[in-house]
Amino acid sequence: MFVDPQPLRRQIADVAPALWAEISAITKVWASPIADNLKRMGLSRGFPKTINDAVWGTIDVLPPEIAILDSPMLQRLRGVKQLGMAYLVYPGAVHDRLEHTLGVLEAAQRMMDALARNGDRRQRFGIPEDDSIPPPSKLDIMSTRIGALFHDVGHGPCSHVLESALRGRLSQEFDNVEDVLRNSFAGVARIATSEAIAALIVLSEPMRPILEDARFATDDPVPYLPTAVTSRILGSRACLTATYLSGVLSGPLDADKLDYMARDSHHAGLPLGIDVIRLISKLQVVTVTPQNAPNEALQKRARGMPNERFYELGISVAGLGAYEQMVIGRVILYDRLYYHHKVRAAEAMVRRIVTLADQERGRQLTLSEMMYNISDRGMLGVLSGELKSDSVPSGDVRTRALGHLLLDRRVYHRAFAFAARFIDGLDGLPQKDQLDTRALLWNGILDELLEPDGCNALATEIFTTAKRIGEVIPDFKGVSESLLGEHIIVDLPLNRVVVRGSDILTRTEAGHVGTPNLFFDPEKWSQAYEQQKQCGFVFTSKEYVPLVALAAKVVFFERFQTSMGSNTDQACKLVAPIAPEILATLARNQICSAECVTAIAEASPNFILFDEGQMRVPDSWKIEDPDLARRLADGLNEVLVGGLPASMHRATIDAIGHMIMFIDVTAKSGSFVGLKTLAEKELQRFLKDHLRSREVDVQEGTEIGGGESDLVLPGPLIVENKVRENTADPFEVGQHYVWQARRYSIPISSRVSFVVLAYRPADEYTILPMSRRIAVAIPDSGPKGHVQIRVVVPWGEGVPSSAKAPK
Amino acid sequence: MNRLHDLAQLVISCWRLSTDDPKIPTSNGVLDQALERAVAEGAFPEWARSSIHFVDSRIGLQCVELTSILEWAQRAQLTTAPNPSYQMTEVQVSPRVARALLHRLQVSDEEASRWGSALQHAIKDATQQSRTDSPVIVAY
Repeated sequence: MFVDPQPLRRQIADVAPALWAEISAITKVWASPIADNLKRMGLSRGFPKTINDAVWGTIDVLPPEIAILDSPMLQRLRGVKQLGMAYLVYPGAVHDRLEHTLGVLEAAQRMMDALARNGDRRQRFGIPEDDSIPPPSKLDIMSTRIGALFHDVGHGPCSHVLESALRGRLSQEFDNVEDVLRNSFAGVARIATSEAIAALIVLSEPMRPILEDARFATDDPVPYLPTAVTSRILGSRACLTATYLSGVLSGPLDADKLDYMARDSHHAGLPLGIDVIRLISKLQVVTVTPQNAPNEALQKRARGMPNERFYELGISVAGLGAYEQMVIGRVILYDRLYYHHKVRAAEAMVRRIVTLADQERGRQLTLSEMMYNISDRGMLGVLSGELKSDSVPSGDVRTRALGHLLLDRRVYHRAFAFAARFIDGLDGLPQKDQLDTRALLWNGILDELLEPDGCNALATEIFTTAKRIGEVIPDFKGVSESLLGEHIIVDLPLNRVVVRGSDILTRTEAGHVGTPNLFFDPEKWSQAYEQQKQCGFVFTSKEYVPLVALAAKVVFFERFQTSMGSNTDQACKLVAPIAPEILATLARNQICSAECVTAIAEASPNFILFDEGQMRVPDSWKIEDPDLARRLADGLNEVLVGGLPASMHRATIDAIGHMIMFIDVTAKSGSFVGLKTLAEKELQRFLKDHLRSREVDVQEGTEIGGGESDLVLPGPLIVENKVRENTADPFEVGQHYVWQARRYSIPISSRVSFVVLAYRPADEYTILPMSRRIAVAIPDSGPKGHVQIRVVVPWGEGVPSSAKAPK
Repeated sequence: MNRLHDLAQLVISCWRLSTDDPKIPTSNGVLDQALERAVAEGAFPEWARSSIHFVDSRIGLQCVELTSILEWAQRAQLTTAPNPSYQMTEVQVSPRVARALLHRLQVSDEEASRWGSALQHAIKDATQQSRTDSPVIVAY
């Protein structure tokens, strides 16, 4: 299916007017020299250029392609490093996107040659279904080669490092464009931001005279080249005669990967041993018919095609070993190169430089400024004020200071590491509870840190805590005074690569078609992969590491109820333990809780989740309300993410049991029935006597938190008693009680409190059944991480009418 | 907003509340097909349905977001580390975790259980179709 460029341009302009206008303006500047080059070349045939290359030996570039290559649009890619800041760790990794672009051109040509040869041989020696494999058309070949040249023009300075920031400028319009592209080009799945920009550049009006130039003419009646090039960049099967070329530039086994894997490993000095030559030679044209299609979707597509067959790019069974090798190689590259902790620190610093410069100048860079024709180094120089540019505004003093740190390779160090596998205090739990607790705690962290704003907010909290620590710990005073917000970066990589090995078709000699089953030890590889990459870091400058490490530990515990234990110290190569007197000082100054002190001191509290089986609910209540125990457990687990340390967990379960019995006893004894008045002191006496009758060590009238609490149960757990007059819903009234109970709970590091509310029912219908007289209160707003269990008992009610003797 | 994280929590939690079988088959596009069918039948909240896209790819029907959803589920500790060829993934958390996550997503237990069952039925159908037609080709 061929896509007419003109209606597509109109559609994009409609759904993404600002993005389309900005890209068109940028392209206008870049396209004009290409048009000049073509004019200068005239109609002379010219000669191909042969370029020496570290990976492919030699690369041939055809005359019209030279007009594109020798222009600012492509030459600016010389300054955009293929591996971003990785050169700070791997000094040889300074190759650029222009070098890679030429490599992709060569890899694409070799793939096309291999597929054309395979198609030809299959027609001569293959099965009858192969007899009409179409050779690539002139448009197919041209669009693939030009697509290779343009596939990376969507990258600006610092490319992937700033990609999300760049998208953030016009994210809704990017979403709209991707929808349009996906609907227009068959078979397109994921579209990277840089691919979307490259597609917009190719489709833009300023590129029209170039791609409609006589040197790029094909035999087609409509100038399809812009959409055909776009289709190749996106990996679509649209605008192709030889549809098996659809994945040459973008697919599971494409020229892009073949080049960057070989080139990155070569320049970084990380030998991978990828058998590129065999991989290319084992590429196959897979003929898919309704008979051999492995699934309904492919059967349906085959039935709709001429001769009931179509052709896809695949790999022969004999090439699967080399394909596996490539998949493994990609994992290794991510582990050791792309996600090396120092590379991540440097890239996080680049992102911080951009946001800091935005803050200092009072506005964000525009998309045009972020795509400006300037190198990575030039962009950092301009942002940090080392260089001046008329087109890209700088930051100010603080950006300059941060920029110099990076440019001098004073890259931030790891102060704190966080990962699901680091979560401490779970060892003593049953395996199932370990899994559940870890999942709940880790999801609580992910929920907060999914967006850059969440990471920035956490960094600010760590900064504030570090400052407070500096005020009370003399050893940290000096260093904390020079600490600034930008010295702390929280980084949790989210754009994790997903290695999926079976996204390509395989064909056996007998003509069977399917997806490959790969056999390398997957568990081993994914574990090694996780160890390296699935880890968040708090980065800071070297002199602040001990202070920020301590502040991060405190913040992680207080905010997420999570201790990463000694694992974080090992991951960050920290050796000195925190002195107990420092922790005691922090607790005394209410910078952290006593629970936190225990956790950081590696006493390893075992966190235990609440379970319905633990709740001591009378049998008669279970009949009345089988879900009560589950409701209580779920409510507690929801607020106390990950559960509570063992001692507090036990105390809470015990206290709930006592409260349930209090409800049961007061109801059955009729202690409060028919009372004219009920004072809080009376209620408290009833409750205290009940608890003491059950041998509970209950304290009364303890001075805590600047006030006097009603009762304190073992745990310690605060109990506040309240009495209300006519009340329709005792769980709705007094939402502020939770704050009061929380105030008393903070000084004793308790995250659970009870409110016992005696209420005079507004009418007979508001007397709740016993199983509805206790609940975990989950208010929409309230102190985070603190749970209030509310117990309600009616008072002053008359004898129910149904219980009275008939008149 | 990172919808992939929410989608991972939703799909895995729905599955967990609807069955005791922890294994979700993912090979040969089975889960892609099942998700498409479940979504077409109205399973999952509107925000989830509009966040999931399907494409007729070079290997058949694919859910654009599925690979990332499965990866997120693993990253969020909801499933065990699957093998990279994605034959199946195994749910490792209990219903109490599922309920806690669903509460945040404002999905009731009943809805989740219903949607999980719909997904299971769709997987069953897709697996039968796949078994008859799709060979798994191995290197030798």
